Amino acid sequence: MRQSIKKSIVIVIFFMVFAQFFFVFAYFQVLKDQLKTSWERDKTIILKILADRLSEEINLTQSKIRSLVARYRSLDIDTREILWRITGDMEHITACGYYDTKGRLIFQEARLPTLESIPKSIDRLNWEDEVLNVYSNANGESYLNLKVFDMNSNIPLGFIVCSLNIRDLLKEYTHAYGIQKATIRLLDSQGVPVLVLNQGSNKKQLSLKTNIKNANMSIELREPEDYVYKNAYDFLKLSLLLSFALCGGLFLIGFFTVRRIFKPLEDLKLSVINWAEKKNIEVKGYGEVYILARAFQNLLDSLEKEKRVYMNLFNNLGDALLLVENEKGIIEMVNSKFLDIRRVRN
Amino acid sequence: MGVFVFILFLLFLVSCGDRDKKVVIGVLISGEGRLTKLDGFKDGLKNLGIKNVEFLVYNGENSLKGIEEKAIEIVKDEDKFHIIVAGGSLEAYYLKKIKEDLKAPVVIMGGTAIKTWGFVDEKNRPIRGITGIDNLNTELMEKRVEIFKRFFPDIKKAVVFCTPRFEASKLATRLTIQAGEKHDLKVVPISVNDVRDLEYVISHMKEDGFGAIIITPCFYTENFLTSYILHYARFYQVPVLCLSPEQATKGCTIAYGSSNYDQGYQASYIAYRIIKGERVENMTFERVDKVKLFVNQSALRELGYTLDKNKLALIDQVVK
Repeated sequence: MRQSIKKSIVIVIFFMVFAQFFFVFAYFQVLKDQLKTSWERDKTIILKILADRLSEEINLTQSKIRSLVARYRSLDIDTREILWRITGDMEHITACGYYDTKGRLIFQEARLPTLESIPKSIDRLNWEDEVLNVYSNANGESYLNLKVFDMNSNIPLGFIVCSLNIRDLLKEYTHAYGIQKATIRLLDSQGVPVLVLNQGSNKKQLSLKTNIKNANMSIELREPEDYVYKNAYDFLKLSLLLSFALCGGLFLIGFFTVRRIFKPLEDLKLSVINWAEKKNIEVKGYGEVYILARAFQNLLDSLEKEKRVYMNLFNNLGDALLLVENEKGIIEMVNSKFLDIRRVRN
Repeated sequence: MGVFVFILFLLFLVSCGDRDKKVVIGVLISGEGRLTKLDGFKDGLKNLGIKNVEFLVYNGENSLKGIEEKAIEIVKDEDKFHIIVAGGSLEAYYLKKIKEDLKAPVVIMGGTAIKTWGFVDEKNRPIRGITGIDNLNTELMEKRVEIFKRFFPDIKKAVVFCTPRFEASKLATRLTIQAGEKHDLKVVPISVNDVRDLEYVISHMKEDGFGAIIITPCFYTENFLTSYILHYARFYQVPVLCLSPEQATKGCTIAYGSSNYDQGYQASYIAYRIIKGERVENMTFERVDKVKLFVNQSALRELGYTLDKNKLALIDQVVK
């Protein structure tokens, strides 16, 4: 019985611990799902805004190039100087080239010493503004080559191609939208990355993708799962820490409680076993077991007292008495009168 | 029970932790001239939302010995810093000369000839725990000479004052000479020992057919001579081609390059990424993104030059 109570207590504690850890992990999973859903919802919006802003920026840059050309041309400034002005007046434009109607490069202007981003010739000679290609160099810079057709009084003059530093532009956007930790990838129509911003680690990542209008490209946003699920992992860490502390405490409390219940019972058992020698039940302390021990001791004391009365009566009676065990007929006790009559003395 | 509650309380405190830790940045600069870089750097970090920052500035007071001494001090204190910021390539070179394996990453707020100084490998990847902004001062020499010739097509010979003590300065001089050859300008490097030498050369250079002075990235010239060069050049009416817009505001005739403030501002983004946990190895040097042409109108007028509309179109800012 004693074993089973202890076992029951241990089982209850284990069940509580198991239940606690189960709920912690269950809530962790729920939290992860919630975080993923909210990440997807938020980042889809941000990515759409990013794609729209990029598309707008491309259109705006192209129309600004055209208006700058018209403005400087009206001031009778040479086309070469106009290209230089474009690279100075427009942020993120680092180089521009001028092409004739057959797509051959006539001259180019650049702020920085390297001019490789400007192609030597262009083959898309349609009279519309478009995005030509993305050029990346060894310094990790990427340029979006934007084509703008140059027309004066309805007479086609040629094309202007300007290199827009797309890396810097995206860098600004990612900061403005608070997604500095995210890896941003610009993909061409085949899905091949042409620009990777903030190349993250090789850890598992969540990703979203959307198309950029009028650019025949798409933009992808990736973030490490660790970062997205950070709150869930923080919760898990803290919960496990607290759970272990709580379980440790629970075990300690359980141990001392069980010890406090069973120790007096153990003492009572030993005292009862050894009662014949000491004639006393020793249980220290207080509480139910102590009261029980005291009651037990009182009962034994009263029995002992009664026994003494009967023994006295038995010994001092005027008649000789002989106490015989019923079944086997063994003499168990005789009184002193009996001994006197039978002249039996030590 | 009391102990148990105390442990729980401690765990709670540990879990709360200090989330907005103070960032300590050590700054090594060669002299006051580079403090504008630090201003840009500070503003950049502030705009990026890093406000709890302490800057410990070690100023070399424009001497190589001073820079070395301050580099030793900063290395001694390296445990204090999350990042060490260097005013230029020279400062970064001294830091690494004192201790190659610095614990804190080093960010250069605009450095020249980073490959020559050995900060990057063949593929332009940072190799010594150093990254930052490449201000292209050496690489832009050709562009500077080209622009100068557009303004002063008649000048055929120019002087470069530099006593190169470092390979990067030699490279800059070499590139300037090559650019001169390409654009029909004979560039002659001249070594001067003191200001008296300098005045003598400037006062007599026209007699020898030299029509201009070109400032190249060179520690001695930049830190000691520029103000004297600008003074004597103006007095003896010699046009000067400079590296940064700040020099145009000090009287230099024409300057093409990136401003110190812009370089510092751009470098702050790199520092920000490091603070946020990115590794230096993954961050290539960024090239300056704002390169501007400044012209000092009064200096130009004193030389007897006027600006036609095409030349005006080349200028990003006219300093009056």
